[in-house]
Amino acid sequence: MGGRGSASGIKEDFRDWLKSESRDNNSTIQPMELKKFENYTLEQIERRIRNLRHEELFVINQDGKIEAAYKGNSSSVAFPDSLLKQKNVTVTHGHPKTRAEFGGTFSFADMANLLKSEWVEHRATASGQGEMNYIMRKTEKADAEGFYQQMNSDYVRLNSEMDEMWDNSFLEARKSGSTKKNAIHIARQRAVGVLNKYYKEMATKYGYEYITRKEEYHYGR
Amino acid sequence: MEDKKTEDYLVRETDGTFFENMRQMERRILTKYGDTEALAILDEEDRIEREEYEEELRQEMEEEKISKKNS
Repeated sequence: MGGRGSASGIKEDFRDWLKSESRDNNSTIQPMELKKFENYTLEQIERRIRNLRHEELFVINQDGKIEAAYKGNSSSVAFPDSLLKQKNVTVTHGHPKTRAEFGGTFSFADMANLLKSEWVEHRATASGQGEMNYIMRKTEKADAEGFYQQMNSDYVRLNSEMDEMWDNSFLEARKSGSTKKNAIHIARQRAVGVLNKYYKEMATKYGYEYITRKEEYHYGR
Repeated sequence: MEDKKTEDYLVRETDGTFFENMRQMERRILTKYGDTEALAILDEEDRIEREEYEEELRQEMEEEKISKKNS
């Protein structure tokens, strides 16, 4: 999976992401004017961000009020490190419509951010045909440090599994007559499925709720 | 005080190079099979993605201009 100068590809990138993430000094924080989103509900925010071609991130307090919002580019959104210390907030961001094929679940960096934060809930929203919302919620039993260390020791294996899954799924799909485009789609879904399954298992183990919701999901707030 | 300055300076990101890494993995596998046709599909996806992103940026800039004029 790409990466910079390591045999297994992603290793160094993954370490970078887990460590802290001033990934480079070129990441610009672009706060957005909140006036534009006055009275937006969580549902309205997520409806907006799942249809964009760039990422946006919103911070919502317990009263449902937007406290901050940041605009990103087509693959990421930057925010100040100090945001991690904001207690009991819900943080939601969109994975751009053009990346929908990769599924909408949390990236490694998303997980690292949550596990180093005081946030009560982290959400990723996507526009794929399957799950639309991915939610990782802290419970009273949450062991953030344990989860973080677990991921830190599993990332090489996870990376290999995703790689292998993509490879095998593509070949299988081709053998069973899928077009190349469709075989790519299937391979992506299954590769990201490895991550999804891992998050489900580990969330339970470390006191988090991992919830995925489909399009018909009704927001209660 | 010094610590706070450092903290505020730090920038975090949501996805970083996650999607790029996924793309690179795909390209590496398809290159291994010499599947130029499948690689061309990825090239086309990249092109569409770039175009759509640029178009969105253009539209937003237009909207901002109009909004500033009106305010």
